[in-house]
Amino acid sequence: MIKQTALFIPGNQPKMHISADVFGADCLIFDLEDSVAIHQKDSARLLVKEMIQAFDLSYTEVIVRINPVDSSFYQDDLKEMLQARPDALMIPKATKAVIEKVEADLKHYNDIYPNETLKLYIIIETAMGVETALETCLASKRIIGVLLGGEDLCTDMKVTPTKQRIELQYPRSKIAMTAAACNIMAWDTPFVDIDDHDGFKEDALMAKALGFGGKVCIHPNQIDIVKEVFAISEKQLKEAQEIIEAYELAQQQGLGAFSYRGKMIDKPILERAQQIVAASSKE
Amino acid sequence: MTQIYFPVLLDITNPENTIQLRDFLERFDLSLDTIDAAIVIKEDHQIVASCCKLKNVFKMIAVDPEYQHNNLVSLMLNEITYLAFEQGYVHTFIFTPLVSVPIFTSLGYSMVVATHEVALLEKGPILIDETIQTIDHKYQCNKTQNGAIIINGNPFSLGHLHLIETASRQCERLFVFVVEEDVSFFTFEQRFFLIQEGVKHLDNVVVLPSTFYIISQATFPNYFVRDKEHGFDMYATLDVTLFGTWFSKLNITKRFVGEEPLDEMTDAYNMTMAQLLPSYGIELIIIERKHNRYGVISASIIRSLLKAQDWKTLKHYVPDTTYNYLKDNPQIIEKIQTHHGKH
Amino acid sequence: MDINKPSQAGTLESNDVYVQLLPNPNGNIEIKLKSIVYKQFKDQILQVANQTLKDLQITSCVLIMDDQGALDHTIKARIESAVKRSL
Repeated sequence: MIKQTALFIPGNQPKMHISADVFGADCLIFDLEDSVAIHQKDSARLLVKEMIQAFDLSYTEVIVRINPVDSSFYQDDLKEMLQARPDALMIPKATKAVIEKVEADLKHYNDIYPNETLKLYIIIETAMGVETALETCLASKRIIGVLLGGEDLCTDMKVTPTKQRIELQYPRSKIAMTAAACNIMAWDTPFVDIDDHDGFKEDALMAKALGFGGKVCIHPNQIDIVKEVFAISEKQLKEAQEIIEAYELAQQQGLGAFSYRGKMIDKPILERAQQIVAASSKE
Repeated sequence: MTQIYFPVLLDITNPENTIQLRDFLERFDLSLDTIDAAIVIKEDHQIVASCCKLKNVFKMIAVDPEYQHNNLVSLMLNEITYLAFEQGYVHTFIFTPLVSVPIFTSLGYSMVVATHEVALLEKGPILIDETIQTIDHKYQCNKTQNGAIIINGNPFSLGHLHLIETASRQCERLFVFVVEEDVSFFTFEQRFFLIQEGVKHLDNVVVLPSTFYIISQATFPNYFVRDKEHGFDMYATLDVTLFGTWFSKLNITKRFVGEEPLDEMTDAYNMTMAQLLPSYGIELIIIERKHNRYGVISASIIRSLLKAQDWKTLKHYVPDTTYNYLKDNPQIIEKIQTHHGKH
Repeated sequence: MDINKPSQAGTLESNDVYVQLLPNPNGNIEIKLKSIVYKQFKDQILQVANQTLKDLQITSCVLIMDDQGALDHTIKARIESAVKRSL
């Protein structure tokens, strides 16, 4: 599945939940953390659990951002979400130690709440998190993506955000590179000025150029812009189709490996080509 | 998520905060009335929205024009409703300038009454129409010509008895509404009991709790605060309009009050009633106060006598039913020794 | 199980339901429902509410519901939350 857009949905707002399907995001992130007031966190997790269990959400990837592992909410979040069975959990303030703890807890609960297929997304949002991103990404096989949390990172660095986001240049590059090295997806940080569409588009273009696979949205009107920026070009589509043709030809001839334009095509490239063709035929 | 706003409880014991709140409200021509809690939404340390309350009445609800499409009223009402419930209130009211009424009706509040300036809305398991209907069904109100008198009775005195006896002779049936709000020295249960005992000999008198809608914080905050500055006329008009609109459905055609030589505020309120009630088919009848050999019989004089334990003089102020009760309950004397307060 | 401590959950937002749970001196379950879709969905809402209380083994309470068009799963979640807060 090609993932380019992910939309944060406040965990305690039923109104947002039930209209989530019309926004067209590839992934929905039900949030139990920053968008939920402390005294409502208990209610929010039950609401999200019931929502996930009640509805057919197979058109999207269902992710739940739970509260930080060192918070008083983490254990209850985990227990309820293991019953809810989303596709993935999103772990804030991720570090190697944090992920190891999550892994251990998931293993511990596996007998009561089977969770072997549960995936993880991690959020890197501290300076130390950025510096140790590689070991964090490698800390669990469940990790399929890494998100850069720019706002909290700026707070941690005690730096004032600039419009051009100069302060994020290094973290962005680092995260994109780390994701590539680990063969997982990189999600770029949210853009908070939801009325500045031009600024958002520029920001998305920068993310794409740096190697991010997509951008996290905090408002539905950002989704179409991301789709536009990350759209597969005609050239890419044509190339993908040709790779698949070459693959099918090789299969017919009983050949294992095959090449396209002089390059050997291995499994990841083939899969990517298949995803591109599948995604474009959906539109 | 779009911008998430989190309403916060303002520390109103901090004078800096109350000044900030007062300044914010002034922009909307709202004055800072007595409150026991304030919920605000701040942006860059400035208040952009507020919602205050006194007991179960929400008021002084305002949103900065720049933030008006962000659903802030709903967010604040959530928080303040939670707070009120934690304090034991399931039935809540909103007191608001007329222009904001549609916002609240869209959030599930129903109109109780409106004047040309302000409106009172409510939400709860039993609303005013059901409240009035229940009384109507129980007492078959359309069968008799009814009168009403509102008594606090702190405690029930010969003065009150005189008012009730006089009033009961001027209508087929008299409803005595006992003020439910517990801000008096004698509790509602005590006051209600003493009134019931004191009027047992009168066949056509029915003693009832006053309901939320008569002389309560909702309709008449000033009565309890005794401070004339804050829109007295506005509150008095609202209160009287409410009584006229709804309690006339109980076939009440006469409302009785005692004349008020001692209390300016009650006197002014009586004047408002005299002006407005006739348009609801209700006549206001002012009954002369009973005097005893010492002068006017007032509840505050009685409380001073009790404090001084002057039982001999007290006999000239209260009926036997009240006298005996006070004699039988020495803990009341103990309590009054330490009590300070006008009511 | 009886509800002994008052509790509340939910919000006044659209598609949500604000619930208040109170002890019931009568010892049974009493539900007071107010809804923007009362006419069309009263029976269904009450059915979900009753079933949720049953599943949580609540036998005595007063449940006051202020509904702004909540779907079944929201009703269930909010009642469950109020019950948990009451314990």
